[in-house]
Amino acid sequence: MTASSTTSRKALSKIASNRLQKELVEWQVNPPSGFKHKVTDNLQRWVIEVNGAPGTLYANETYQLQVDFPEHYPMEAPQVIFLPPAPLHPHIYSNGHICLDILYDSWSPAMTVSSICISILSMLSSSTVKQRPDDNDGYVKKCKNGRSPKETRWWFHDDKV
Amino acid sequence: MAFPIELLTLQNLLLRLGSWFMLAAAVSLITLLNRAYVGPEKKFSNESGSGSRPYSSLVQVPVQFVVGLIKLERMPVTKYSSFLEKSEGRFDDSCEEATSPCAVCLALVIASDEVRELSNCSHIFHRECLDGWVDQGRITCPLCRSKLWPDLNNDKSKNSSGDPWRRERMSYLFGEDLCFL
Repeated sequence: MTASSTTSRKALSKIASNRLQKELVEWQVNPPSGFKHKVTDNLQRWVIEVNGAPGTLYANETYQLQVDFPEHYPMEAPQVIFLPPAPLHPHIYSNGHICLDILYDSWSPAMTVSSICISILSMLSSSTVKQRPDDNDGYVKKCKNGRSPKETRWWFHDDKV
Repeated sequence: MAFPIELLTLQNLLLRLGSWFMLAAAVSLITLLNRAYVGPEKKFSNESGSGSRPYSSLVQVPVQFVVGLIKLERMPVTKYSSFLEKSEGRFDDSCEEATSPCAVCLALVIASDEVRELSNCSHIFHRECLDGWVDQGRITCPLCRSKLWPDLNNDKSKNSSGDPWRRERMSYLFGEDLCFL
């Protein structure tokens, strides 16, 4: 399972922890619609429930996102994966890894958990087929040792879905 | 990629001094290589006409040096209050709010905070928040992704050879007093 893959993470820096506290407060006041933060006392790992948007292929389905924050968040992107079972989507691998540029190369420190969630829901909503990426089996096999998606060199080839 | 640049300003100074040793080594190595290749066949001899001087793009510039130079020269630091005074003419409502949130740390930027003036957009971040991003080797505004400083190759066609760091290499090699552009 990739769910508990990153165990030896460094603790959040002061800056990271301050910023996350602010995000958490903002989330409580103004949560992105369709998402529910499962409250724990762990600021460094958020588990978020995603409800498929009505009128899309994923309507009435619920999935779980796991967001792990690095020591130097927000200078570095968080690691975001779907907990199993991951939704069937051309950019989501069966191990929960998500092929989405803002989670890797195109990350910016002005993005927030909330904005990531909205991007992921938008990616789900624009899908026209429920299927795995073509290279799913090969990729998942390569990640068997618990590799983080952040260590993958992603190739972003499709901006339609 | 995180580059270890905590004591940037101080380090920069030390780097300038220490780097001459590296530089000497690099230059002699490249001259040597040049001789080895160019000697028998004169392959590259008419390329630049600068004789034995190495072509600037062959000399690696330490990332710290480049980042330090960029921060110093391209993104001047100013107090947020004076930034507001300057931009009052451009933005009607900016003078009302002496505070606005920094998109990086989500804390307010208050009048006494230091900010960097960006050349391609008017977004405001705490100096240390933006520096943390630049230290990661990033060169675009966190909010709009426009380049944090002007494109070096914009206004010149000669001598650029598609090397965006030419000026940095040159000033690293020969000092900042010389003007190559």
